[in-house]
Amino acid sequence: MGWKIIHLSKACKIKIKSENLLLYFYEEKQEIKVTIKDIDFILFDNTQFSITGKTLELLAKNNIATLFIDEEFTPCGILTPYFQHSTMTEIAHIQISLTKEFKEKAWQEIIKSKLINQAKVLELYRSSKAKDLVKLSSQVQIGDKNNDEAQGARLYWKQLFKIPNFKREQGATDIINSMLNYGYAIVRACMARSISASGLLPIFGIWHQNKYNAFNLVDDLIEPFRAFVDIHIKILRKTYTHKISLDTQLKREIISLLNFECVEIKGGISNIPRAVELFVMNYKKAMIKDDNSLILYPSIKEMYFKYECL
Amino acid sequence: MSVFRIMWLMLMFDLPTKTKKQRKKYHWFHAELEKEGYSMIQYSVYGKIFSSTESAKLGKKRIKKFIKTNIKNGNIRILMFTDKQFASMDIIIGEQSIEEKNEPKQLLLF
Repeated sequence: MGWKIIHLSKACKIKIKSENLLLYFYEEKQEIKVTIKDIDFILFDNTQFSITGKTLELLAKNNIATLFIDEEFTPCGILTPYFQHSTMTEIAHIQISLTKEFKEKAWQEIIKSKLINQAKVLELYRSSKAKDLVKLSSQVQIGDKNNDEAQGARLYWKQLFKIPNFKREQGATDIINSMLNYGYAIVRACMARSISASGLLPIFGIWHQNKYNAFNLVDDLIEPFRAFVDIHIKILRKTYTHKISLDTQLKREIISLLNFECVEIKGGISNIPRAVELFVMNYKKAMIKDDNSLILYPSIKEMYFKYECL
Repeated sequence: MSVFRIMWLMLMFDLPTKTKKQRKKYHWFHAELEKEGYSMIQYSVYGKIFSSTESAKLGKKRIKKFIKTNIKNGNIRILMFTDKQFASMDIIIGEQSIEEKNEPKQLLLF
C-alpha cells in the first residue's frame, strides 16, 4: 500500500507505461512518471483529463482510493475495487446475517466515539460546552435510541464555528459547508477503498439502511473520523478568513489533512488513511467473531492540534 | 513524513551487452525494474523510495531474490540510505529529473 497523494487540477492525459502511471500535461508538454505502487490516493480535481482502460484496471488492482469530481467541483464518484479478496462470499454471508444486537451495539459505540472526538475538538477551542458532549457520550444507549447524535450535533455546530444560524447541510453552498463536504468526501473515499479492499460489501450498513445509497457501511463507519475534518477546517478558516469560495489552493490545504499523523488508534499514532484501514480491519474481525469489543476507535491526538487552536 | 524515515534503495549494475541475446536481457531487466517501481537516475543506476526502513528491507530482499533467479553474470550492487543523505548528494554535471525531485514528496500537486 502506498503513501503518496496526488491532486490533479491541470488538463492531462493519464496512461500506463511499464506498469507505472504516466501523466502527460498538455499545457507544459511534459511527461511525468509516478510509481503506481507508491500511490495511496488520487483526486481528479477537474474533468479535463482522459484516462486509459489499463490505468483504471491498475488503479483498482493496487487498491488506490480514487475520487472523481463533477463540473461544479463537488466529488461525484469513487472507484471501488471489487473481487480482490479471497473470502469475499464468506464475508458477505456474515455481513448479511449480522445480528440486530451486534449492529445496535456497534452503532452505540460509533456514536460514543464520534461524540468524544467532537468534545475533544471543542475542548481544544476551550469551549465550555465540551463537558456537555462528554456527558452526552456517556449516556448513549444501545442503537442510539435517544438520538444523542443529533443532540450532540446541535450543541457542537453552534459552538464550533460560532456563526448564528449556521446549519450543517450536504448541499449547501456557503464556504464552510462546502469545505466540510469536500473534506468528508476525501475521507469517505479512503473509507470506501479500505472497505472494499478488505472484502466487505459497502451496501450493507449498520445503521444507514437507505435503499438508494450504495455506501451505507461507509457512511456508518466514517462517523468517528468526521471530527478530524471539522478541526482541520476550523484551523484553515483562521488563515483563509477572506475566502468565500473553494479554490484549488484551499482544496490542496484540505487534502493535506491525509498526511497529518494526528490519529491515535491501537495505542499508536497514525495518519487518516492508515487509521481508516486499521479501523475497518478491526471492524471486520469483530464482525466475524461476533464480538463488539474488538473494534478499535480512533481518537484525536491533542498535541497535534494544540498550538494551532490557540 | 520525516526525511530520516524515508529510505532509498539504489541499484547499480553492469550487464554484459556484447551479443544480441545479452542486450535483450539488458532491456528486459530495465523493463522489469521499472515495473517493480524503480526509476532510472542515470544509466545503470536505479533508485526506489520507501516510506520506512522496514519496507525498504523488504524491498531489498525482494529485488535480491529476483536478481539471483534471473541474472547469471554481470555486476550488481545495492545500497540503502536515508532521503536526507540522498538530498545531500552533489550533482556536478547534469540535473535532477522531475521524477527524482517528486520521489520524496508525499503530496503531489499538478
